Amino acid sequence: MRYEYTPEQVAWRDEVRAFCARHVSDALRAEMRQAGNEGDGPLAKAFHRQLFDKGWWGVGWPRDFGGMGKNAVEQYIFIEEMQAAGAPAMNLSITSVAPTILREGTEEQKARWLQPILHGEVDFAVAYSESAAGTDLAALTTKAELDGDEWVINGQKMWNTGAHTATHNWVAVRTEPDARKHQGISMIIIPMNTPGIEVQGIWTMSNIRTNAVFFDNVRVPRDHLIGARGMGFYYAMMALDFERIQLGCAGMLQRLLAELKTFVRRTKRDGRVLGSIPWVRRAMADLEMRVEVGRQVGLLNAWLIDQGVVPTKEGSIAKIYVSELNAHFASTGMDILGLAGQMGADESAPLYGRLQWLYTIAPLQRFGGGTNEIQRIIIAQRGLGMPRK
Amino acid sequence: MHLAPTDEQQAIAQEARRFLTAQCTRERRLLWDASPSGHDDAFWRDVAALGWLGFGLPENVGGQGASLADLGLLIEECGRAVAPFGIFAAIAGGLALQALGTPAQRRGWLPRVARGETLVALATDELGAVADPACFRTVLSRRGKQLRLDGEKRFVLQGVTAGAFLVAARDGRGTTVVLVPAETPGVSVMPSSTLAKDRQSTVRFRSVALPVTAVCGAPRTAWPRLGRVRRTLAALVCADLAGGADAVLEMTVRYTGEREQFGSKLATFPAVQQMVASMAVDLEGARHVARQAIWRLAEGRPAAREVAIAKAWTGRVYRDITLMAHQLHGGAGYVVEHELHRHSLRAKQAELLFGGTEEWLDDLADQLKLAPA
Repeated sequence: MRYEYTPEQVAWRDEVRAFCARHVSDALRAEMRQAGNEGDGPLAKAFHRQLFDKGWWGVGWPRDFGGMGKNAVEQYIFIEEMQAAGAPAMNLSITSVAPTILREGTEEQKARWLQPILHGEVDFAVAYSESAAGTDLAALTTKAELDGDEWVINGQKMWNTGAHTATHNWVAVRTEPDARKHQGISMIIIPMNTPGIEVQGIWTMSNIRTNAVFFDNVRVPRDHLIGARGMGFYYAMMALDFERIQLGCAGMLQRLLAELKTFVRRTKRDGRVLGSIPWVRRAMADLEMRVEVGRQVGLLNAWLIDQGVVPTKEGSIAKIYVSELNAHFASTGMDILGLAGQMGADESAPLYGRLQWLYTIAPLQRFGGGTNEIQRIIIAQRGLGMPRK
Repeated sequence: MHLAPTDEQQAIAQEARRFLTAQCTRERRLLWDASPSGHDDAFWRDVAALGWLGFGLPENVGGQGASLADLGLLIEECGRAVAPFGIFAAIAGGLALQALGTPAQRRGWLPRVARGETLVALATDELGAVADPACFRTVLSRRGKQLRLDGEKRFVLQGVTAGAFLVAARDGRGTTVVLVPAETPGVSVMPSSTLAKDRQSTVRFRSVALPVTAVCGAPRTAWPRLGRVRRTLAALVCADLAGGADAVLEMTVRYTGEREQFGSKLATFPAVQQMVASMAVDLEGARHVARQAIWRLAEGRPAAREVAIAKAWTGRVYRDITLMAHQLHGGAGYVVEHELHRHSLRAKQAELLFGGTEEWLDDLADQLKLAPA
């Protein structure tokens, strides 16, 4: 038992922290707030380039493919520090698509896709859901049929966030119509400049744009199907497991908590320093406690991966805990800020309006990435052995 | 970093679990409920023979020299089994005397504590004073070389079987801890009735004459040391809470997997699975913040923040898990034949021990330095 980083882990943390201190500027953070998800601005692109140059973009990828070969705890440390610095997030190409290609792709597919992903030349949106296939993902009906050496794709995807800026789409399609529903799905890469794709914007409560995407006889080469035919549902589930290191990381909350502490120390209301008001003290201590608990569950998930365990239960626990804490944190933090807490993202708003922004994305984090109710079923059935029927 | 017990530590926990499962049978617990000590002599001898009562004490006073981290794992098992709380009380009193007592006091008492022949009970709390020594109404006064102790201490764990009390008293402008044998004239011990039915006492000191050798360490300077002891015991009790919560989750999974209504096992109902999973989510963090706090104390790292977090979170979580378990057990878990009630009563009571959830959050808020002093 040892609840402390090793000297190597401390050195890695300090290295990432020092890098962020040098390269994550106020201007970069302001640009990110401005851009929303309308693609990276020049400063974000420059920041990403620095990560590519250091080999940090593929922090968890094997060294043979240009990555750092860092284990899960080191990846957690990396993500925590990046989030705590307010740096641009790792994107889904890196955390979700590439690990699946690495695991399941042919040698030709790895050679073709991984380097461009690593260098930011290929950037994926992820298309799983459809209007009638959300939590029940295996009900999806978008189909791909083989015609000679090409797949022909027809159907409609929903919540295809980033499809309007991405170069490629990572699409779950039905390729085996006669197989049972979980076993008839495959993953296909579709370049977004292929004829027959229509992207319609959908605007959400958090100002994040997402998309409905229509595929009308879209043709891609046969080798754009990654891994085995009919295994796509399982790849999608596996990709979510990879993502949970990120979803279960409370680094962003650590940053917001530090900013909130500074705010209550410096701000007076009705002549009293906020931090001296009993209910504010109580609320701040409660947040400090909950964020530390979140750190523990996130670290445990990562540590178990490094022990060779598939932490199905712990990954779900981290996802549930951190996403629900986001909602609680946003609401409690806004209570402390008072009406100033509902100000939009402008320079005069306390914490740049990040808490009201968090309040609007918190519901998404609870139902996205596998709803928390599904996560609880996973904990109950796969973690605790409760019966399915 | 290693977020699990080592193989040797697992062996400690497994041996403890085997022993407690075999010993703490329902029939025996019902006998213990009616006994003055809360256990029987044979059980106490067996516990002592395993070395538990001196587990965390140094070898030169008859202890096993185990680290606090190992001791925490043992206490997790005691919590899991809702073992008689006298075990925790004996361990706590031993650690307190080791931390506060003079070498002569340690030599005189701790070997017998480790052998289970006697017990030293920490007597600090009063009705009107818990953590501010200036408010203690128990007073030590002096006439020549003779000391005199007057006052009343409450909530003394296992006071009924204690051979001596470690008493915190106001002494001029400072706080002094004195070691008072239970048979000293003027000492009276009254059992008090409590929620979890453990053996707490009110201990009254009326013109108790003491020699100067009763003083633990330098007079009038006990407070910071006493505060540290209280913090260590608060962390250790978190292990009891986390172990207990784990047991309640397990028994709830088992019960809902057996009980049928509407022709189906309860465990197949989605609402039931959601509730049980929520218990697991809260427990996971509790186990690790508790172990983290105890590990940091064991290693001599700064731990004030981690102890405050551990006590506030595990206290809340164990209590909530037992309440949810009652909801899922219905009447079956409400009767005294079922062990659930022992957990739910222990949970709320232990949440209050060594400072409750809100008190530790307040301590944590102080540590955050949110406003100029």
